[in-house]
Amino acid sequence: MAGETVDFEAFYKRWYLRAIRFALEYIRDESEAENIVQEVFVNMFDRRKSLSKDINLTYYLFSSVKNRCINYLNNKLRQRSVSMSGDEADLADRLSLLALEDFDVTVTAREDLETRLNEALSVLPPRCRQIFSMSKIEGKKQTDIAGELGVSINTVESQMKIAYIKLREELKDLVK
Amino acid sequence: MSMDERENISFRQIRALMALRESDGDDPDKNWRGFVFRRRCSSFFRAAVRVAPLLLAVVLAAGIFYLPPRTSALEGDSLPYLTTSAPAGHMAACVLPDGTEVKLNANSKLTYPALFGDERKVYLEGEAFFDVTSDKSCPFIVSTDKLEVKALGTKFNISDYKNDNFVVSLLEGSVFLYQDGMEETGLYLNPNEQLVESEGGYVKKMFVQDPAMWVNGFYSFNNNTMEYILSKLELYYDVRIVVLNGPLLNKTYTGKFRQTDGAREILRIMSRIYPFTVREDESSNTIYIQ
Repeated sequence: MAGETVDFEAFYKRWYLRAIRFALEYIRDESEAENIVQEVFVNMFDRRKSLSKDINLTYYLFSSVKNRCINYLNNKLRQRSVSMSGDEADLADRLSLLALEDFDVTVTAREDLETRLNEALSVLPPRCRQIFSMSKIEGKKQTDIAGELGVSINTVESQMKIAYIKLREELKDLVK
Repeated sequence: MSMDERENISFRQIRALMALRESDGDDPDKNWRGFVFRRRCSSFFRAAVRVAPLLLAVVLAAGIFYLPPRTSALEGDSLPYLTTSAPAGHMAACVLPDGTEVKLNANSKLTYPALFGDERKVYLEGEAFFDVTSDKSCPFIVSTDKLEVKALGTKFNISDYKNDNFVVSLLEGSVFLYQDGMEETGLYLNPNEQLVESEGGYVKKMFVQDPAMWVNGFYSFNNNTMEYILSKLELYYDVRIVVLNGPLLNKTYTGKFRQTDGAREILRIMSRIYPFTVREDESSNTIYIQ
């Protein structure tokens, strides 16, 4: 792929898995998240020659992933609303939709993003950081973490909350 | 929204941000090999689709009735794409599979699928005039570097040359403009309105001068600055024009030229209104104005 305007391979390697993790935060379905991200990359690959150098590719990537996730959640909610709206899964998806719509994609284009995130994490006390890093998708696996570390679920919950609050303080210019 | 929900959302944003960090178990090489493999499979499928019409013709020649698969089943990435392009100094025209007529201005390129699926999506570089065949069930979308233009059975002109401002002008009907993937933030144009890129944003305005005059082989300027006109000539004729007389750039001109005249002749005619000399260096494809 030498000589092309965009080094697609490097771009793909850097962002593919991160984009999937990002999508998973909202749509909680691994194969769907993978499908969405894969489609976006295929689309970008096909258009790589017409993608101008002025477009920030990371911004383009995450805008597309965000929009496809929003469409996915909207469709899911629309289909479900016929049968049973207001149940727990429905509420979770609605919240995901709100959270995703609120996510400001421009931060993905920041050169210093990874440094900033790592710096913010390094501010957390070690135990708190460990628990935060182990936690998977919201509301799940807290019992697993508690079991693994030999602490109570309450401890995990309170440490998570401390982590969030500290991180939000550290990253306040990036989070709405 | 309750406090809890508000808090939940801001925590979710932190989680989403953290998802953008590199993670320990990542094996990007493996994923890339998977991607390349899938691309290869799909290009094989593409090749298969390319020979399909030929096979169909053979089957029909044998007098056997055969219903082709619905085009929607083949839509998207798997279709062969066709390209029509107009070199510098020339125009081109083509009729798309749905009957839509497209005129391409100089230095422009249109890429479109050999068959349309549930949507009619084409890719434009440069400038083109579209007379879209109406089909409400199947939106017609022109995808450009800057914006997506969705047409609803209309006549419109798009100018998206590199190094020039993006302009969409609507002559008849209605078009909807949006950034790829951000359809919810789009806007409509009414006839005689155009959307012009300006200082990083876009402005909607009415146009007076027919933006598609070029379709009939004319380049027309109406009280435009020399700077603007020269930038257009550079695009249309793929030459470099160097002005050695700075104040000239702010002079304004009104005039109509034949596209076949060429940049040098147009400049020569213009030099009668406000005198300047034209010198051409063919080896470097540059015209000097003094």
